[in-house]
This record gives sequence, structure tokens and C-alpha cells, in this order.
Amino acid sequence: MLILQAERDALLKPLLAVTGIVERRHTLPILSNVLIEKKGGEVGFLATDLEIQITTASPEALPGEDFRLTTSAKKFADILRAMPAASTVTLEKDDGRLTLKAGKSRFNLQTLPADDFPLLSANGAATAAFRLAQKDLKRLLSQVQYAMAVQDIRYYLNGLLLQTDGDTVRLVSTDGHRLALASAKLDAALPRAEVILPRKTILELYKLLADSDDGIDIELLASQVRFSFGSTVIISKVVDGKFPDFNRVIPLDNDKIFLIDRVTLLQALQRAAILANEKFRGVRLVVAPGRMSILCTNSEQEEAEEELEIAYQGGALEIGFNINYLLDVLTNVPAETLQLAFGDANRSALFTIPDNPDFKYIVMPMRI
Amino acid sequence: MDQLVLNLTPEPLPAFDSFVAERNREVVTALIDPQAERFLYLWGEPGSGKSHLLQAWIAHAEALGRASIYLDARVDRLPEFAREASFIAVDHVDELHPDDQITLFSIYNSLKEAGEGRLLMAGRRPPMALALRDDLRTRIGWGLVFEVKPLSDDDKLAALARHAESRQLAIPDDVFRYLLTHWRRDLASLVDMIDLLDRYSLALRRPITVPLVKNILQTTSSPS
Repeated sequence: MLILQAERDALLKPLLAVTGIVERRHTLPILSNVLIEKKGGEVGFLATDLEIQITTASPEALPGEDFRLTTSAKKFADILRAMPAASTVTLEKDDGRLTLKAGKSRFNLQTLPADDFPLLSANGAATAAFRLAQKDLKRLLSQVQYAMAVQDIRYYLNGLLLQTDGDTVRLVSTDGHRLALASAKLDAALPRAEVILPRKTILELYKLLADSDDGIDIELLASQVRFSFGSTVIISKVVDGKFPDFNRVIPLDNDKIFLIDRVTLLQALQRAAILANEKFRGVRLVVAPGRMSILCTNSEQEEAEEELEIAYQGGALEIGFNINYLLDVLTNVPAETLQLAFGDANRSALFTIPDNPDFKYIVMPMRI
Repeated sequence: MDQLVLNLTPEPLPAFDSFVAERNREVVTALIDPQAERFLYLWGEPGSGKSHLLQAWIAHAEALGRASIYLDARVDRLPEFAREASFIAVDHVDELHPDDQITLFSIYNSLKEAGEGRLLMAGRRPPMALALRDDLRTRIGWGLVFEVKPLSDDDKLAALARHAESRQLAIPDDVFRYLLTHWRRDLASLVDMIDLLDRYSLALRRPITVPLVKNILQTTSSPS
């Protein structure tokens, strides 16, 4: 029985938007499937890993009967991707089998009953809800997401703190070695609320956000967060835990302060990084009146040295860092000039944007 | 090359909640009871939790909004302004400087005369065995005296698990058992070791496991 006929891209684009979260292996076989549901003219796609659920719809109305089915997300996407771009795809369903035809190609896929597909339902009323332009949220995320921990035993670090407070939305991430904080002002009066969003949710959300002025609605629910933008809805569980008080790690008395051109420093570090130790990634910064030297050595005793002129007249300092932590912030912060503030070789350094309280990056040194 | 870590976890304040009280329930009851004797003395072996109880008592007093002060005779001389407080805890009275013994005796007397305020002291020996001025020693003995019983191994395991939980750390139980048999046995050292493991695991990005503990015990000073 013919159930659907559409251009390849009308199916592939929404399909790829939801299948990023599908795990390769899962104890529940149906979770490697995608739920495809046609209601009226709209074809909806839904995938979940039980922690996150993403739904989206085909961009335009499609003719045909209503139906619901689930089939392997990966195989379905792989087949569509391998088709010529403008080809017309037809779907037929018979006795639990899904047949996909395009031109002279024919694929027969297994399905599992749509009623068995586990759905996350949004629970409770929102404790805080607000709207941002997609590009603004994307920019905020890019400023902090690189500092999230990966598979740390402190599960609350494997994510990102989202905090609302009055007219401010704040995002904070840390892996214990460095901490990044970005905030934005809203034209709203929000209650004080905070949640920790799982790492996977953040990475997926970041991928799906467009560089556009279109809005995204963000709702903090009881133990869940919902993001709605365009026809896409992401519901994610939140990390159960208490995020550390980030204010106590922001150094306030660092007295060795200077401004530096971001790109100049980034390029110098990128060159020096070529000869940084592959395992430890150490870099030494030697700060003196008027100049800063960047020194890297590797296990083969090779050396890189860069020197930058800086407008600085304070005391001298030699301090080590993991060079990747410096490259991360310099790559992801869209500012021409950064302010660097150091204390001593054992204390954290603070990176900020001059005259802009909305971004902070704190990085702990490395003893070299 | 050592990566230093951000100090994300504040030191937990000692509280009665985090005191494993199975065998010392009556001590905690007496410390919290507002009708109880105003002069108390706790004695017991090192590591039995006396200092923890004193600090928890101070935190309790502060929660009640009372002016309080914790004094450690091992660390500092007793300041004259201590008598301004109404909840006064004096730790390690065995080690009081002779001049401080006079100060403490005088604090005792002024609290006694004032008819309010409380004094909680702790030392290693029962009052009569304290090597202090006679007048002070007898006064210590006049109040309510408790022996703080040392923790059993199960108590220590429970205390360590609770400490790890307060730091939101997932640590398998075999790590605690390993520490109990391979590291110093007093709770303070064990708790410090958990904090050290926390920092190591964060710096090295490794989970806290028995192999990691073995590694660290080898490089840390051997048990004294």
C-alpha cells in the first residue's frame, strides 16, 4: 500500500535533524528506530535515547493517508543520503515491512510497531520560560560548550549550567581545569532557576540551531527542559546534581593585567602548539614589561618560541598552561581584544572581554 | 607536569548530620538540648570525632543566632575577647598554655556567674587525668562529661560514603575498604584522603578506583 511520495530532501532533512541522538547500540532495539508519523499533511519525525527526544516535521505538506511506523533510523537515513538529490521517493507499507522505491532502486526494511515506541512527555509547568534569537543562543553556547567535561565521575560537570535570574540568562561550564561563563540580558523578568543540561543535549542543540533571528523558546520544567524552534522540539532530561558555585572560583585580585589582540595571540599559540608535548600539551608564558614570550617544548627536545609586544608595565611572571585550554577560548570568543589577568604561577588566570561583563573564562595553570 | 584544578567544592562545614552517631547518640542529644547542662566536656581517643562535634556545635549555635567562637588550644592562644561569645568551644584543652588555663578558668567563672552562655571543651583524657591547674581541672569535671567512643569500621565506612556523597562523588565501596586497611585509620586522615583523591581524579581525569588509590598511596608519604 502506497503511503507516501516525496522529494528526497523533504524526508532527509528532518530525518537527519532527529537521528543525531540515536545510539548505535541500545538494550531496547526500538530505540535505534525513528518514529515517522503522518497526520493531515504533516509528516513528523521523532527519535529518542530516553534522555533526549527530538521531534521535527517535514517542511511542507505532503499528500496521502495518515500512518505511524518505526524503522531503523540509520539505514533509512543512509539509503536516502545515497539517493540522487532530486529523486522522488515513494514509501509503501505491507505487513510490517516498509518498501522504499526511487527510480529503479527498491529497499525493503523492517518496521516495529509505532505503539511500542517510548515517548518522553513534558512534565509539569515551566518554572521559567524565555525566548532568544537562535543565533544569540548559538553564540552563547559556542562561548562555553568547549569547557564541559567528558565522562567525568562528577556527572554534574558533564553538562552545562543554565541559570535564569531577573533579566539575565547565564550559561556556565567547567571540567575542573577551566570554567567558561557567558550571559545575556533579556527583556524579561525571570525567576531564579537553574538546571544542568546534559552534554549530549547541548551538542545536539548547537548542531540544530540556525544562524538566524528566528526565535527559540526555552522552558525549564520539573527535571526537564524543552527547546522549541521552527517545527523542532527537543525535550531533555536534566542532570541531577548541584552545579558548583562558580562565583567562588572567579579570581578577583589578579594584578598582572594587559590587553591583547585575540587573533595575534591565537595564531602565535597555534604555531607554538606544533611543538607542544603531545601528551601534556604544556605551554609556558613569560610575561615581562612590554612583551610576552610563548614557549613550547616536546619530548624530543624541540622548541618553539614566539614573542608578542604587549602594553604592560607590571611585574614579571612565568606561568604554564595546557595550550589547548588557551586555544579553546581564543577560538570561540568573538572579540577583537581580550583582557588577560594573572596572579601568580599557581593561581587561575582570567580572560575577559574589555568593558563587557558578559563573558569570563577562568583557567588553572599547569606546573611545568 | 601537573594540571592544577579549580577549587569547585567548598569544604563542608562540620554538622551533627554528618556525624556518625550510632554509639554517641547521647552526646549529640546533650549538645543540642537547650535545657541541658551549660558546661560540657568531651573526651576520647584522637579521631573519635571530638573536634567535629565542637565545630558542629558552633555551627548549630550560629544557626540559632548566638555569638559563638571555636578555639583550638593546639593552634592558637586563647584571645581575651573570647569571653564576649555566649557559645564557647575550646578544643584540645590538654594542650592549653599555662596562661590560657587561667583565662579559661576566668571564662568559666564569668559564664557561671552570668547564668547563661555555654562552654564546651574537649580533650583526650577524662577530667581527673588532665595535666592542668587544679582549679580548672575540677571545674571541667563539675560539668557534664562524656566519653566520645571511637568509630567502628562500619561507622567509618558510612562516614566516608556520606562525605563522598556530599562532594557529589561516585566512589565504589571497595575504595573505602581499601583505604581503611591501607591508610591511616583515623577518620580525619581518611576524609582528607578522599579530598586528595577527588583533586587527583579531577586533575588526571580518571575515575576513583582502587588502582588509582594504590598509585597515590605509593607516592604519598607512608602511614605514620
